Amino acid sequence: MKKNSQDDFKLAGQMETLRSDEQGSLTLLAGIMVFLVTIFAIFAFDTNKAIYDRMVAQNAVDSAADSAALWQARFCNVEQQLNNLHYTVDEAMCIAEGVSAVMCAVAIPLEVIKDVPFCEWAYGVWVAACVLCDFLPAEDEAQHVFYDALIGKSASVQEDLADAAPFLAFANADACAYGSGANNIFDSAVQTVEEYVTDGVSLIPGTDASSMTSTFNSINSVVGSTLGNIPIYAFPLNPQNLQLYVNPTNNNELPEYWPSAVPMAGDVAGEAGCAEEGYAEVEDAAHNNSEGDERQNDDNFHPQWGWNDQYEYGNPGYLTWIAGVTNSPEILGLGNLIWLNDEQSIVPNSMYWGSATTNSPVPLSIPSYIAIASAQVEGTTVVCNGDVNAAPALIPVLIPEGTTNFTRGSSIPFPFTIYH
Amino acid sequence: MKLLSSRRHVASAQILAEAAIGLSLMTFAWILIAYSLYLANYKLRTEMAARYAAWYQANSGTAATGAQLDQYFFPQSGLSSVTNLSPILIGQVIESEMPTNAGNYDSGDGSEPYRSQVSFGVTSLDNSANPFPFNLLSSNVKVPMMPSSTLSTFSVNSTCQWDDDGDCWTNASQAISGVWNTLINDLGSFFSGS
Repeated sequence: MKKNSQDDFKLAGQMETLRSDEQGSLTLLAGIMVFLVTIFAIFAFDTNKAIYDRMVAQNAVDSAADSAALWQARFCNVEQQLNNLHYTVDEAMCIAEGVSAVMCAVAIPLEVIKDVPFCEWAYGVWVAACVLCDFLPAEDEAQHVFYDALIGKSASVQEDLADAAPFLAFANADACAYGSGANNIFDSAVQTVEEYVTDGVSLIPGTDASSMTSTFNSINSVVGSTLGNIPIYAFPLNPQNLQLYVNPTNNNELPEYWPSAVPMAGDVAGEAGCAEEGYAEVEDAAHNNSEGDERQNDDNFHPQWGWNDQYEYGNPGYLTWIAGVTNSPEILGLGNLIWLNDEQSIVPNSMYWGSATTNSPVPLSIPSYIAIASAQVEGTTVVCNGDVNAAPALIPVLIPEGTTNFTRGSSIPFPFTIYH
Repeated sequence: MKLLSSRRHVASAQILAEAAIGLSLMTFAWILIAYSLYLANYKLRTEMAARYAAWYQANSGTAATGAQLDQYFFPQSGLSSVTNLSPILIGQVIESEMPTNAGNYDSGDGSEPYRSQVSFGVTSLDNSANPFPFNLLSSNVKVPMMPSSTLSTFSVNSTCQWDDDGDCWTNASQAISGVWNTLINDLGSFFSGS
């Protein structure tokens, strides 16, 4: 009993010594401090990475939207320059045909006068008038050929350029998004939607949130089957607006409208006044060029005189693009520290995404981000004769089919965010 | 009395030793974390600066300088640099290929997009002359377990590409050369995949 009391006393003394012993406490304190500082540093690094990814996504989509608008503007400017060239040629042809028609008319009296005695001088004038008159059918035909090459046929320069513009706008926007660090847009879009769906958030009021993933996947498969294996880094929400929306439109004013009565009258006069100079052969040769032998031999063939041209008119609409960055591992493998998180740790659309406890659907990671931007072509619309000043401009975000301008901080009914 | 004095000396020595260990541990962690966060912060700034540099060159036709970027994005001057990289064209997109080049890229025809890379930090030993709060090179401080050569590459960078907004083909010569370059460069790279 006494021994036990002594042992108890001894044990109590040792406990007291241990309790009062401060050896190692500073090292322990420093270790705890370092651990805490490190944990906060990890959060700071991850926050930094998340912000960085958002900025990359926004810069990429801005660059893509601007690039697409730039290529649309470039093609609008080319169309406008060709319109202006067309207009100038029409003006020149109006003057030339007018002069030729007048010369044809002048040739009629000269043909009579040149045979009158003492009027030999008239012969030289008559020949000169007929030379100018002979140009009449060629001038009229040249205008038709020029018109056909520019815009008059489906495979013409302006129509081909208008058809090529959407593809180049899309491809160059895609290249700019890739060059600015965006990831495959369908990967990042599907990931972002999954992050929302996991949380049960209805992205669009009245719609089933879980259907968004399958929607994006079906879009991806349609695009994939259309474009093959071309990776898409930026995608327009309204792809139909990649078109220039410039269309051939009738004109009914000079010089684009040249009344057929003028050259037809000149033609009649030419046949009467310059027949001896071979006007008929010149006329046949000129119209043979474009109409072809078969039509030339047709009994009902009549040369087409004058013109009523069409010019490209119109302007492209706005384009709204999305680009994104896929989710990425958080720094220092925080997701492996499962004891940091409980079973309810999935936090969509926040700094972290995924589960640190089950690694499902994905390990804890920095979430994907998709950003949105709109751009349009600004300047004078394409008209028959106008300024060549189309230029791209980024504009406040416009959701297709919507009427509201969205600026930073706006609540957009899609999983798209304007990050700056 | 002598015994007590001796025990007090031992305790003091213990405290000093622990303080030395603890403070050096905290200092080491603090330097590493502060330096890393410092660069992480500047990583964000390089992304903003890269967008500005690419945009500026695309709209003005002249490359942004390090001094310009310092004025807007980097409170600490003299440590940023701009490099023009080969732009991504359609061919590279198809191949998912990112061209790499170390030197400044000059497109020559001026109608291609501009791709700018902005770097910040100690990128070479020459930069050790610049005032840098964490200039471990000039202060001869060596981080344990880390070779000194690693310190010379402590920099962050970001890249952004911006299409040539300054060349909207507003005159005939620009339009003709633009269409020609598109046929040769863009569509050429599309078919060659390079």
